[in-house]
Amino acid sequence: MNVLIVEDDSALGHFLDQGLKLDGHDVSVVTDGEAALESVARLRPELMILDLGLPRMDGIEVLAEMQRHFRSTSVLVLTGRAEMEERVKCLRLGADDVVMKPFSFHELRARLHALSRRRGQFEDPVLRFGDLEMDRTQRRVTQAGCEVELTATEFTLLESLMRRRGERVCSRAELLREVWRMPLGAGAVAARTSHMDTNIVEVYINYLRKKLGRNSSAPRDASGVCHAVIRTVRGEGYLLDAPEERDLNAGTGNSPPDLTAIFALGGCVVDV
Amino acid sequence: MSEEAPVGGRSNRTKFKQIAVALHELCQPLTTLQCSLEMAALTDTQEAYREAMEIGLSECRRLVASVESMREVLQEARQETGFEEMEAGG
Repeated sequence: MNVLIVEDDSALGHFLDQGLKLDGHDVSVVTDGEAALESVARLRPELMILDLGLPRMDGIEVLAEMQRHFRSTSVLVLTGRAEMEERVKCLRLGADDVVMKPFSFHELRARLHALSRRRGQFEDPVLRFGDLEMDRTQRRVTQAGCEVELTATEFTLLESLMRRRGERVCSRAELLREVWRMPLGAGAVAARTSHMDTNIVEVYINYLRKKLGRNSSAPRDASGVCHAVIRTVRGEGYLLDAPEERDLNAGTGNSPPDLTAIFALGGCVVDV
Repeated sequence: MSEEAPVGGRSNRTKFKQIAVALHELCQPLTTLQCSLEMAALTDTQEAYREAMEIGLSECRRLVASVESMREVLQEARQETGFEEMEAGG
């Protein structure tokens, strides 16, 4: 999951950051309420871990703003305040869970997993992006209306990319955890130490690109829907994108500088 | 008696508030201490243990400061209620 930690205690923020990264989450940390809302608008995290006692804007105010503008982000509140009324107030304001300090990291992890499970249950079973449509109930993928046959691994890999709707990069560590069920820390360790272990992601990304590339031959279909592409973002991972014309002209030197390659899934393959 | 009761009530409320604040101040370093030790055990590297020890010592200093402030609150409460004199007399 893409997790935003909002904690003004730098030592605690540091350990939560480390621990959740070991679990394969994509983590960002901010230390005040205003920065939290700015980051949510920019990163669209799936989960926010929110401390209540924050500088610049109190956690309760952040929670109210989240409920108003960013309901798709789950919020887990951390509080050192003992009053039951405080916890009830948080839940009424839209918090998905409240954890009292002091807490064990193991308990926090378990609660995050539970939240993640619940998010999955309430998600729309059909994912759409560009000309791609994935029905997760029927395990069926179509591109521009044509069915695409995928293996179970390819399906899960594409699902991981589509769930992020092109809003953020999916790291190799996240893919290793979500698709290959790598155990705790394996993604981070593999990414640092073993090219062999991370190569599996690239191999399957290429399988996916080839299979999806058979189904379209133009950058846009008749209705103007853009063909989805998987972008490789240097040092970060992969991003599903429905490119604008400027991206399709990447061969002319107009591509964004941080991309190592743009592979169109349709017939408009562009190597940078 | 009827005039003293509200004063005592206010005093108690202040004490409760002080204890709540002190508890809150205990929670923060205790959480960091616990998470840092758990993280070290999970990671199981010498670097992680060293980091946990450094953070642990720093958080212990915060805990000691919180304990000191709780002692002060307790001392004030004892003096106000005359409990200290009773203890000394007993």
